[in-house]
Amino acid sequence: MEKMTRQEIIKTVNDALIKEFELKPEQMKPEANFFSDLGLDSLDAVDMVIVLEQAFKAKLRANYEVGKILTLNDLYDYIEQLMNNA
Amino acid sequence: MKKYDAVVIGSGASGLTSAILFSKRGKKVALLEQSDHLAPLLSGFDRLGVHFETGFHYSGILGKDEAGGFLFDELGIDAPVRQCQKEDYDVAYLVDSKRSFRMPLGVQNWIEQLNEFFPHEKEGIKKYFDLVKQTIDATPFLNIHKRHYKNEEFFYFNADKKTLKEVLDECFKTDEIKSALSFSTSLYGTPPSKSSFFLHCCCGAIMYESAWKFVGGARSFVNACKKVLDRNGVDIFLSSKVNRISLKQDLKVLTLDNGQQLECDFCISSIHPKELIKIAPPEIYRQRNLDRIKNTAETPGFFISYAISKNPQKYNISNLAFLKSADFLNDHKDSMYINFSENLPQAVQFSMRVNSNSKQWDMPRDEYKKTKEQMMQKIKSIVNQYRPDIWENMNFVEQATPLTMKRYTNYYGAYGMMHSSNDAAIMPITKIPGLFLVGQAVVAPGLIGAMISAFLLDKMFGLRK
Repeated sequence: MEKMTRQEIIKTVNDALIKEFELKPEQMKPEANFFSDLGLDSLDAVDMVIVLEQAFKAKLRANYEVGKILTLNDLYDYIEQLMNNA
Repeated sequence: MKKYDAVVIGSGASGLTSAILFSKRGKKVALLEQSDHLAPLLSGFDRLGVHFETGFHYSGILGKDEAGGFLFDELGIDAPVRQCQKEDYDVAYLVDSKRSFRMPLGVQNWIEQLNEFFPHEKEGIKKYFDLVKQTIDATPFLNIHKRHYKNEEFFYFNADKKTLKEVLDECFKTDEIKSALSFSTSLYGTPPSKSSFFLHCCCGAIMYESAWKFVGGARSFVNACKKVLDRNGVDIFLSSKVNRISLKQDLKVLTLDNGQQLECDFCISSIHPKELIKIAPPEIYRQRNLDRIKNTAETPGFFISYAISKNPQKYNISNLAFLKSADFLNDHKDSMYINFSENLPQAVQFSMRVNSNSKQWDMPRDEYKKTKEQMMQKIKSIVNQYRPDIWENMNFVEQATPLTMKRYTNYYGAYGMMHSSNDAAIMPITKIPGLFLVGQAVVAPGLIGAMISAFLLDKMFGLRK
């Protein structure tokens, strides 16, 4: 995985999710909860992983801490940490 | 309108399993089958008094103290199984080195025999079987009989997307052994370059330790399920194809092609996901999700020629495959094998991998006939090259193509949707509460994969309560 800044990560995540789930840019607040704020369900969670894998060209599923990710901020942290360890 | 707690669409392995599990929860259940008999693919057919298997030949882990045996017990079905014997199990004729590799049973025997055949690959052989063991041991649903997993753990799938091809390339130097070890991809329809190593372990590698057949063929399994369905009061609707699923508040309304309607709280679809989205309300998935399902590749199809052996002596082989080293690199695209039944007169099947693209099979009748003749000639030339004694002893009675498959299952590929390591998993849930999916597309192809998908749905039900 290429090194990216946090800002680049946030942009890549937001662009991918906005497109996949037809979300509005103003919904993409770091504290937004996937389920209660963005209206996603467990079916969408699977799609989300796939979309992000495509966006980052990286395997995200090998690590199932994915299940602990509840907000956008958790997701940014998770991807940032994955990239720093890569 | 008749009202049920649960209606199961399709009576294959996952449909039968689901119907039993819902009835065990005390639900009033209906099971729908479009054909005029239960589980047509599993049940096989008879010609000239000889029985032919069509959907199932053998599987790993069906023993009493293995996952499959545990599932049979949970369902309360009495489906007698027996272990394949060494002399009636698979043989791979390795074309390039002109050697017959009689597949052993038991991991230790595999290792020893491979070491003998491929002495320069010893290190890789050990590495490969260590990886297989690690993966199988770490997969909850393959160890469901050990009872120490929590229900939630069954939903954590191995997500390592490393392909079988990558693992074999890492372990081995030469293609002949890779070809021999990846031939079992034909048994679940995802070729080595697309199959994750995990899928290979779930469907193919589980057969290293032991391989099982149903005594009396796969129809014994169907009959055993039927007994339990009858005992549990499940209503079976044959010749009942579902044309449409619609919603009436929280209820699902199923309209059959004879106009009859059934209402239910829970609708469990065991049919191909591409077929389900044709009859389900549009809100079943988001558009992108629908597109993804539509674009998922199909598993390859088979052209099969069925024959009865005229040889009064039994061929002591169950399956005979002709394997070239090059088959590994071309994803077993031209794979061909012969399957022999255990009883006399022996039912023999010649199966050749063919394209399962629906467009390929959309042709006028005379062209279809010509295509079948061409395929028959191709099989004949391959068999005669290596085993002319077999071909001349056959009385050919029937043929099947992906089009035949479609008539019974609505899809062309031998195992439905392909489980490519790059594709998204099909989930048991949909956007419509109470509308669920089971079947080969959800967990893994094959009898075990299909049954497990129904058990996962049942566990999910348990968890939600």
